[in-house]
This record gives sequence, C-alpha cells and structure tokens, in this order.
Amino acid sequence: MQLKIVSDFNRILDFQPCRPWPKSLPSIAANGILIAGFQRLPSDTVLDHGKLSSDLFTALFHELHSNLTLPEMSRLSETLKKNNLIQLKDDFLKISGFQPGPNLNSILESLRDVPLELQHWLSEKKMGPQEILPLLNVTPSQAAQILSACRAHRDSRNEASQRMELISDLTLMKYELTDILTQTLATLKSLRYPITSSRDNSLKAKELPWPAKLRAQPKRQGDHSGFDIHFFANSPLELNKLSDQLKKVADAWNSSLDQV
Amino acid sequence: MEFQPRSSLIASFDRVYIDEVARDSEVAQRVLDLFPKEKIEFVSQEPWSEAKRGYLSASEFERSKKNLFITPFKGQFFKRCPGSSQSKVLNCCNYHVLNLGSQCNMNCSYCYLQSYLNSPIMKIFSNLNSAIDELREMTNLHAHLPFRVGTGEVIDSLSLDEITLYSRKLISFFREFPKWTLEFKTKSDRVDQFLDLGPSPNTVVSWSLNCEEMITAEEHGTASLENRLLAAEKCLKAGFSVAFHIDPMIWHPEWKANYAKLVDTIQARFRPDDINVISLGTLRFQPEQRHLMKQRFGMSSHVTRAEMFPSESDKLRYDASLRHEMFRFVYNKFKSQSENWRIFLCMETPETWVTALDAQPSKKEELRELFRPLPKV
Repeated sequence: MQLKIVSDFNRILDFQPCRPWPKSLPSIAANGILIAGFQRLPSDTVLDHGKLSSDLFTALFHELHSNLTLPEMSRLSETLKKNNLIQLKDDFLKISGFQPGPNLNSILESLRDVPLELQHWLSEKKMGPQEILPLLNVTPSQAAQILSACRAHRDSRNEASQRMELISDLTLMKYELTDILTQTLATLKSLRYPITSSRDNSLKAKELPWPAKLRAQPKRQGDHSGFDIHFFANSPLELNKLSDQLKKVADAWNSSLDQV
Repeated sequence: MEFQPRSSLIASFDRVYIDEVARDSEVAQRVLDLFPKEKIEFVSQEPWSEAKRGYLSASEFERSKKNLFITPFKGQFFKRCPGSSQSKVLNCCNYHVLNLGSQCNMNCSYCYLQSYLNSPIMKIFSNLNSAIDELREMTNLHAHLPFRVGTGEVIDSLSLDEITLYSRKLISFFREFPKWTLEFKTKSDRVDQFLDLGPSPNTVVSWSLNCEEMITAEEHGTASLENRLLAAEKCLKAGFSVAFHIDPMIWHPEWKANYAKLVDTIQARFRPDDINVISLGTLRFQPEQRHLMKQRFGMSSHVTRAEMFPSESDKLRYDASLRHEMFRFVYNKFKSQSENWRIFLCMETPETWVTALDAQPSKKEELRELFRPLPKV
C-alpha cells in the first residue's frame, strides 16, 4: 500500500454512490483505478492498494460500497463500460447479491434513462429487480412518469411496487397514461380487475342483518373475498347471543347467493 | 420401426446438440438419421450453460424452444407430481411423473415452464433405459398398487415422440404391470408412431383440451381441437385408454358458450365409458412468470389480462367464487348428460371441491381409487 494523489489516476469509477465517502478518509485505489472518494481535488491523497487479484479487488470494492441499490448498480455498470472494465460487472453484481443475467441487464439499462432524482428515490425505497420488471414493458419516458407518480403519491415500497405494475398493465391495455397517473391504488385496481371489483362491490352492497355490537367489513384476501368480522363478548351468554344472530346473517347471505 | 417424422418438426429446430457421452444412444443415432448434418453439433457441455442464472429472459426462452440437446439425465426420473408437495392445501390424486426431457416445442401463453425452467435449451434425455430401470425397481416393489405415471410434466409426451419413439418402449414395459397406468399427456395429434402396439388398456393417451377459441388465442403451435379429438378416436379404436384434461379453463366473455360447445362436442363423439377420466382445472401460474408472459404475449392475451390473485398454494388464480362457478358449470354440463362421466379437479383445494362439486373426492365413489394414498417414493 502506498499514498498517491488523485491526479495519478485516469480511471475513476465515480458511479455517484448514494452514501458520500467520509471527508476525513483518503480516496482509495487499487489496480490503477480510483474506487472510492471520488469528488476530490487532483492533489488530494489516495491510499493505493496496488495490484490486487480479481477476487481481492472485488472484495475490497464491496467492503467500500456494501449494499448497493439497483440504480447504483446501473450507474456503476455505465461507469465500468466507460472505463473499459465491463468484464468486472458480473463479479460486482454477484458480490452485491444480484443475479447477473439478461433480465437484470435490461433493468439496469432501463434505469440508466431514469432521471437521477428518481433513481435516488428508488434507492431510498430499496426496490428490487422483480419490483422494477414491469417498467420494462413501457417506454423509458413512460417509466419515468410512473416513477414520478409513485413519488408524488408518497408510496411505500409495497404501494409503489403495486402502482408500477398496475399502471404498466393498464398502459399496455391501452389506457391513456395521463389519465391514470393520478388515480388512487383502489381506482387502479378496479380498472385492472373490473370483474372481480364488481363482484367485490356486490358483496359490499349486500344488506345483511349484522348485530349492532359487531363490526363487519367486506375484504379481499388473495383469491377470496368475504367479511372481516370483529366483535367483543363479555360473557358466554353474550357470545351465545351473538352466535345466534350470526346464524341469521349466514342464512341471509346464503339466500342472497341463491338469488344470483 | 421405420417411422418418418413430419418435415415441419425437423425444420422447426435451428440446431441439435448431441452430448458426446450420448453419442451412441438410440435417440442420438435416430437424430443423426433424421436431421440434416449441418444442423447437428457434438458438444461436451450443455450449450449456453456457462452462466448459471435464474429465470430465463424472453429471448432466451424463445431460443430454448428452437434448439435441442440430446443428453443423459443424471437425476431421479421417477417422482411424485408437484401437486403432492402441497397436499396440505391441495387434494392430491397420486399422480407420478417420469421426465424424459424438458421444454416444449409448442408455445402456450400460460405455460408453467416459463417459471419452472432455468435451462436455456430443450432437452431430450438419452438414457431411457435408466428411466426404465428406475421404474422396474418401483414396479418390483409395488406391482399390485395402482400407480399412475405420466410423462408430460415438463415436456409434451408426444409432440417429439416421432423423433424419440420413446412411447413404444414405455408401452411395452407397462404391459408387464397391468395394475400400473402409463399416461401420455399431449396437445399434439401425434399418435401414429405407436398405434400398432395396441391394444394396451393400461396406457392412457390423454389430451389437454380447451375450447377452440382459447386454442387459437392461447395455445400457439398446438394441434386444433378437431385434430386432437381425431387422434383420440384413433387411440380408442386401437385399444388404448383415453383421458381428457380440460385445463386450464380460461375466463373470457363468452366462456360459458364456448366451454358448453366443447362439452357438447366431447359428448357427441365419446361415451362416458370411452373416457378413462376427465380432469378440470382453471388458469393458474406462479407469480414470477407474469412479467415474462407479458413480455412474450403482450396484454391482448386472455391469460396476461386475467384477473389473478395469490392463492393458498402461492400460485395466482382466479377469484375463488369465479373458479367455483366455472367448475360447477362444466361439471354439471357433463353430469346432466350422464352421471357416468368420471370427473375430477386438478390441483384444487378441498374447499373448491366441496363448493363446486359438493363433496371431497374420497366421498365420490368413481374417484376414490384415484385419490387413495399410495406409498411415498
């Protein structure tokens, strides 16, 4: 290991990592490549690890930049390409927990076109490849609009993942993107699943003789729709009473099914 | 047997790779006879295998359908049906599978191989004799039990059989064990290569059927409904058993009329006694494959547009009440003509059995044997 200065290196892997390199630490280099501490002056100090084997180089990079997100990996891929180091990409992907392959390559390429502030938002949400896959079915400009909508709706990771897929599907189903970007998740679901939504709504519309002390909410759980029922009983007697009343609800529900 | 495959089948492959270690196998010799020399290459490792990866991309999946690899299988051929691993949530019908290859030369939009396969090439396993040795071990132990063994789990049983002629060896083997049943499952109409071996009542040649509209829209490259039924009639006439799998039923606006027409067609051409069993299933697939399906078939397909939800077995399925309605409709349509049709639901929950068909399979006399637990293998 020896100390050098930034201007000694003409290969710099500045992929704009989300976490800034601590100012108190020198830049780091190995194999003639600056791999951490990028935004420094040409005369700033660099700790150069010299010549490392490919495995050690990858491991060092991973220690300096652990838990890279997909947008970071996308920027890193681009930087590797520009520095004629693309052969390192798969090793970096693997050590960062991603599975190299054509699907991941397509995702990384599609992220390249996403504005940086949206890339940072995706990084914050720690979105994975499976969640971003639906965006491959729309154009880069549509993908950016969908991501903007997710951010504008202040979606959680789970909500954003649902919104991306629903809007991508609806776009492929010829809905106007501008008409659906502002819709709530509930509206998007009713557009994407019209038949099921109508069935669920008919359940909501059922007037069943629920006991006053009981709260019943129509609810979808996976491939089933039904009622989510909450009640409080303070004695066996009251529980028996509620159970009798529930039998009446079941009968009424059953006869409403027969009418369908 | 001198049997020439269709030239269109040979032409459908870009290239055939033969594993050096399979060079002397019967199937490799047959491939050498059938394919033009310029399409054949001997290799010492699986093509495109250098990068081990997860799911195939759309282009890799398409490519895997056009390239064939003749190689020995190194694992266990004889297995229980994947449905049995979920017997806590699904009713299990004791089906066993014998995989003699993987991937399919047809192209159904809903095909579960899209989430199952991670090999970038279609394979035919060259060591059929090892598979038969495995079978023999099992038959020696359980010759008296009614094992059902299907070869159509990860490859269509018959669409490449004109190349392999594996059906002939299997039919002959199963003859020795009349309690055991061999089932070929296909969407092709390729049966002429083994008809001369009939009668063979413990060989069930079965067809996945769908209404003509869904065959046209979703089952690309498969035989038409008419050709599948004609092939079924040929098999019956030659003394083979025949079964139908109306699976997957796919919801579309005219589903009732179209599936009613399918049932009418079956009933007009076959009697309940002709058909060993009819299984019903509705569309289902692993959640992971939905993206690949959209990339490959867009959103105009009834399959990619389908309203699917996570189910107990983790697969995506239609809403349970819609499934029950579809099952009840087709089941009642068969049973209203004759109670003697033997019908069961494939990979469904006990709840669906009770809601759609009023009883668990164990309570249905005609199905009891099918669902009786067998020794685990």
